[in-house]
Amino acid sequence: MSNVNQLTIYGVDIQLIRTLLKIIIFISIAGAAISSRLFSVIRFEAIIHEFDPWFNFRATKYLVTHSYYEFLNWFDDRTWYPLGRVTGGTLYPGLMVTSGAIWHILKNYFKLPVDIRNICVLLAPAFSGLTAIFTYFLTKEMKDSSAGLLAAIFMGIAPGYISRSVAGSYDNEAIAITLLMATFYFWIKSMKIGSVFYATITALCYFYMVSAWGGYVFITNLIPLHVFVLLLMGRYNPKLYTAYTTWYALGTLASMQIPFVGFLPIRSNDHMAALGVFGLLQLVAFGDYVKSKVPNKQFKSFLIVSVVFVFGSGIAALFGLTAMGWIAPWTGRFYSLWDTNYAKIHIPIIASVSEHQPTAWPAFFFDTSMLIWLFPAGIYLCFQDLKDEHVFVIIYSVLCSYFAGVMVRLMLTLTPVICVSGAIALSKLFDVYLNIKDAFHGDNISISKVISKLTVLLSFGFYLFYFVLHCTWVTSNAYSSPSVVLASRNPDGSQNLIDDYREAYYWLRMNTPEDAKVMAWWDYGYQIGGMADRTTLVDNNTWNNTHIATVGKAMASPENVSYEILKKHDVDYVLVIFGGLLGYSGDDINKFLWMVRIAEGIWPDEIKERDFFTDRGEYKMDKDASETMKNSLMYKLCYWRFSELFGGRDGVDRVRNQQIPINAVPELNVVEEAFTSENWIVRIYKVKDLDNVGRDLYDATKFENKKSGKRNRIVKRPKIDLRE
Amino acid sequence: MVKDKSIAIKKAAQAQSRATPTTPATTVVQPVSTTFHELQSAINTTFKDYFRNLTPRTKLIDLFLLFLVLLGVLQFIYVLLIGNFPFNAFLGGFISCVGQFVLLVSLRLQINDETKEGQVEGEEDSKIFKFISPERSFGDFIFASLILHFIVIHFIN
Amino acid sequence: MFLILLFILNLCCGQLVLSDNKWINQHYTRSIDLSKGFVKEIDIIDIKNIDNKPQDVYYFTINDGFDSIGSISLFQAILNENSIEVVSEEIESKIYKINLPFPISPNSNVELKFNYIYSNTLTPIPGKISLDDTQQLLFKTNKFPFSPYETNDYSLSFTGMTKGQEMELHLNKTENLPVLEPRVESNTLKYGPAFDLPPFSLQPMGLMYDHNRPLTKANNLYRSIWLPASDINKVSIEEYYELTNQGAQLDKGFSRFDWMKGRYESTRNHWALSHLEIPLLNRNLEEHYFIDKVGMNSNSKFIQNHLLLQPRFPLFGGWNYNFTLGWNEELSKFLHLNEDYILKFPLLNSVRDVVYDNVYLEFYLPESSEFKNFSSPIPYESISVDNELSYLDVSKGHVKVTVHYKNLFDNLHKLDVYLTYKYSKTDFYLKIGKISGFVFIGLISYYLLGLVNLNIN
Repeated sequence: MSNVNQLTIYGVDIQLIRTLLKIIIFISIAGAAISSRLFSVIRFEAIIHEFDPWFNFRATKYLVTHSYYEFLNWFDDRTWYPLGRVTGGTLYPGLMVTSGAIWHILKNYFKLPVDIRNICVLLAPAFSGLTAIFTYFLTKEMKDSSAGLLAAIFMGIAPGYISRSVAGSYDNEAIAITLLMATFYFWIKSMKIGSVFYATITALCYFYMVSAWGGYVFITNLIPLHVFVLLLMGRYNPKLYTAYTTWYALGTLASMQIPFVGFLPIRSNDHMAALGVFGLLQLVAFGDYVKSKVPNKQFKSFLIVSVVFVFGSGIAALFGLTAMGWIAPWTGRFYSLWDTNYAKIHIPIIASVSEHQPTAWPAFFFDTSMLIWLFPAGIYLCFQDLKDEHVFVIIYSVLCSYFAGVMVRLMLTLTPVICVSGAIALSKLFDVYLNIKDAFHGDNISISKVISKLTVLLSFGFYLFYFVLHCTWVTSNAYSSPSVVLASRNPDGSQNLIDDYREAYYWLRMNTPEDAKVMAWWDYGYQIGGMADRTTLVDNNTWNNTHIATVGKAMASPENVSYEILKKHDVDYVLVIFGGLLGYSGDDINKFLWMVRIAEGIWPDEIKERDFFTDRGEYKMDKDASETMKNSLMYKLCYWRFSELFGGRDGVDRVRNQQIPINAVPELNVVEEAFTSENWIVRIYKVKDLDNVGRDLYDATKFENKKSGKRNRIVKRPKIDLRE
Repeated sequence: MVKDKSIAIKKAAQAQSRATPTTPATTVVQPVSTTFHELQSAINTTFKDYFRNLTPRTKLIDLFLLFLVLLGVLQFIYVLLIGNFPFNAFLGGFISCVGQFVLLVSLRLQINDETKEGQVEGEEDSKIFKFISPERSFGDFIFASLILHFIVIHFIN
Repeated sequence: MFLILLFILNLCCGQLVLSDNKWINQHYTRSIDLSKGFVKEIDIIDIKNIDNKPQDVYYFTINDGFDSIGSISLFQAILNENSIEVVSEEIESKIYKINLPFPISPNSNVELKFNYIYSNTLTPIPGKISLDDTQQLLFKTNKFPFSPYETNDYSLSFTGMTKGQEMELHLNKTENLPVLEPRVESNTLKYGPAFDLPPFSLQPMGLMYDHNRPLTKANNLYRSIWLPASDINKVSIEEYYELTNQGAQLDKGFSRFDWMKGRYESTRNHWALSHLEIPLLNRNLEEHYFIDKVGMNSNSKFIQNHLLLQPRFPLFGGWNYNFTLGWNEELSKFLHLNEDYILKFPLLNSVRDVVYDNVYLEFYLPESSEFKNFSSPIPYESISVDNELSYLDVSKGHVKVTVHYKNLFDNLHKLDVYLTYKYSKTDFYLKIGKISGFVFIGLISYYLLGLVNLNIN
């Protein structure tokens, strides 16, 4: 392995063999990374997953059917009815532009008119291959290429990253992690050799990252922090100046090209650290210049004091400007990073998203397997060999460990550093234990030495093997479900697809007027827009809390109150998700409390969370359910005619394991059932028009019910029966 | 010699801010005049050194730097006086100045590093930018500037 | 009154001298098949030349007279004794000029058989019913022959229904027609015989009958046939249907509970369209896929040589479902190479009990092949040839021949259309050469770029 310069094997230069091997390893790593993400395509089909990807998909379709400028100026009147959404200015276009560009290139240059859906589905796996390669380069900068290869394979198959990049998970993160790694790699590279060229590349990657994901702020803060820590450690050198200032000047300017980001980089607090460090670095550079000319022993103390002085004045200015309203304060999501309870108290809509919840401990092991305990070892090794780039890894890991603990979603940014440092640790271990030279070169081969080496190697070989098994298992079981289609097993073991979502969405698409407005909880907004192609009131963009609260209120109120809201918003159909028949737990009744809470935030007098619980404070749907609960539109829509299914006995809600009484069938007056999917997961109700006789809808329903008894009047006419 | 003046002003400002830290706890009551003397000598040596090392190339760069600083200041004053109506235009102009300044400084550092090599320590390892030849640094500079100005033009529209 | 009516009709029929009394219908038997979602009528007419010259032109009018028929799908006139198809042309809407193959001498007889199908004619009565009701359809027709000639002997029969009742339609009618009472004979509803009917006898009647099957209609069908360029023995077919049910609508919203309770999905006799049946006969559909605009529909299965497709939701009256069905078949069954390639391909897929408003038959010939000729046993609306770029098309793209048909019905899948095109081996190798040339240029330029990069360093 080591010091072979001119060695040849069978006349072939060993360097050549090494390069060749490396290429083969790369190809197989990329292959492994891509193929392990294809479980869902093989098991289901090439379909867009989850919720947000449906919006991205829809936007991409808009992009490829319209021009780029139309896309940037896209005002979408089919969402957030009646407000609409300035979609072009409120999205990160990187993802759509990427797949749109791939689509055009394939179509025009390679003569492969691939369906845009397939490109969108396979974009994430393709980029994961690239991520593995960038991780290799990054780790190579940290240690050597063998650590790099390990990191690449870890990155390729670590479930923490796969969770956001399986085929069909067409989300911003799919390309953002690749860009994160690329930016970091080029940053380390430019910082190490002080090259303006690499710094420019860093800035360009950063720009791409900004265009793709809101998480770019992480880079915006991490790189300055790295520089700042290096400065504190007294490790300033001109290379740092060159790399950082070039990156900052170009990167900031470029990031302002994205309409959604706009002037944020000079206005918002999230970006001020970078600016501060930029200014600081100018001063330090100048000080350094002076220092090189004036040998002064006390220069260092001067430096530190002036740093403190400048930093202090910087922070003061920051506070001053924020107070004067020049700079936007930190955003809510940012606060919730520091205070985990912040969201719960102030912004229920953020807290209601499951991926914004704090991470449970097992999730770390679940998502990274053995790397989670190799990770500290790797960090320790970084401390031992504390070069500039190691400082970076250390800062990155400390920050991200904290963030990942706060929000499940940020597991994603932690995974790369876990892979990198895990690979560093493991490759160090292999360096030591795979070194068979001194075991055999010595005069006496010590058995114990060999045995100890073998034990360690074998056990780590086993761990690696287990790691691959674990990753494959997790990927195939936990992360490969499109969540639009659910899979279940028949008693005979064959697979049964539960396709209720698409059934209902397609029904909406085929059998309702083009301009019908559908009210559903915001989770389903993007899916309705993407699959049913109908106008929605609220969607996953959640930019307008009041509007969402309105929907929550409509769901939580009694029929007559809801009806006013429905009519005011021109709602034609109301859609609810009900899992009670099948035992599908992600349904609207389980999300109902969030609707209530969000509505309560706006109308504390009309909606009270307490009213929805039983007297004993339980959240129940059975005969003990509170009156408010039973009268709420949501309850009625979900349980309408549900108990009848059970043939005279009480209905059993399989999600909550509660008995829905047969004799207290909810009564529906203002809406009527329009469609219910096969397993009752999606129920769609049509909002009744105002009665044309001018009756109250309640009276009308009563009248209809009475009438139905004698409705079967038959006009007698001679019947001809052919089957005598 | 406008340039020298401005640098001198900067130096002075720097020196003043340095005045506090250079008098640590041990010598609290030092006569102001000595500090001033020290400063002056420091500035003088810096100046001398600066001029001694001044090659036509660095001279050119420094002139350009000065021009950029003036341009930036001018724009800032304009904004303060007249208002920042086309904000992106101002931002584009200002940042292009800053960016170009930074790039030039980087270039200067890299080129200077090369010239310094023989005199100061002489060893290969001590060279900071050991992977970067002056030609390459100039190429990099052109590349980065091109991108900078492309973005600026796009930004201003 | 009668004269006035005749006069009006004459006006309508313009230049035609329909009441020229050159023929007389000696026997006129109408039989109407109502078993499917469209109406199939067979008229057997024994005609006699009562002129003093030999005659070879006979005019046939569709038995309508009061615009009850939506659209005529297929019209066929056959000489009954030797089953020769007779040339006919539609000179005006619903009036056909039959050119007999040989003149009929005075006072001799010939028996003609007319087949025709009409769709968009049946209406559900009542238009909105509940899930457990039986769907009833109203079929409106002329109780008497609507022929320009006098008819001696006439009878009418309906088959393909189990239960029905006649309804009188109070519309214009010819006076003094005999009263025809219905009778039931071996599952057939019969009227007649009636004797000595004047030309253009008209008495609108309605027949309301139970038809608990969906009225499936494809508004549009795009049937694309992709012919391979190489020798691979596979043709891929993709069909895009825009399906609708013309039957009765639901009186209320769709209640899944009622649907489950009635187990309607498993019965074949319900008026909701929950399955599409495709009898496969001797065909073998390889790698078939059943998708719609939101992705794959997993509800398709092969049962006893039938392909059963299940839409995502049952279709009640007025509901729509668009989907795509694709598969591969053995090309050698369809393609023959003489000097040119001759493709013999069925007009339709064999979906059971469906009518089609528009059918677009799209043949994708290999790139740079030459379209020669197309022939079809039934008339089509239009034909067009253009190019479409597809995978690895390096010049103008696949040659696409689109043939537009209107008003077809399921049984026409037995008909074949013929398409001739020319595609030479040189075209094929030229294409391969071009593609590999591009790949080569790409690789070379990559290599050269590598060289350039090295030079700078």
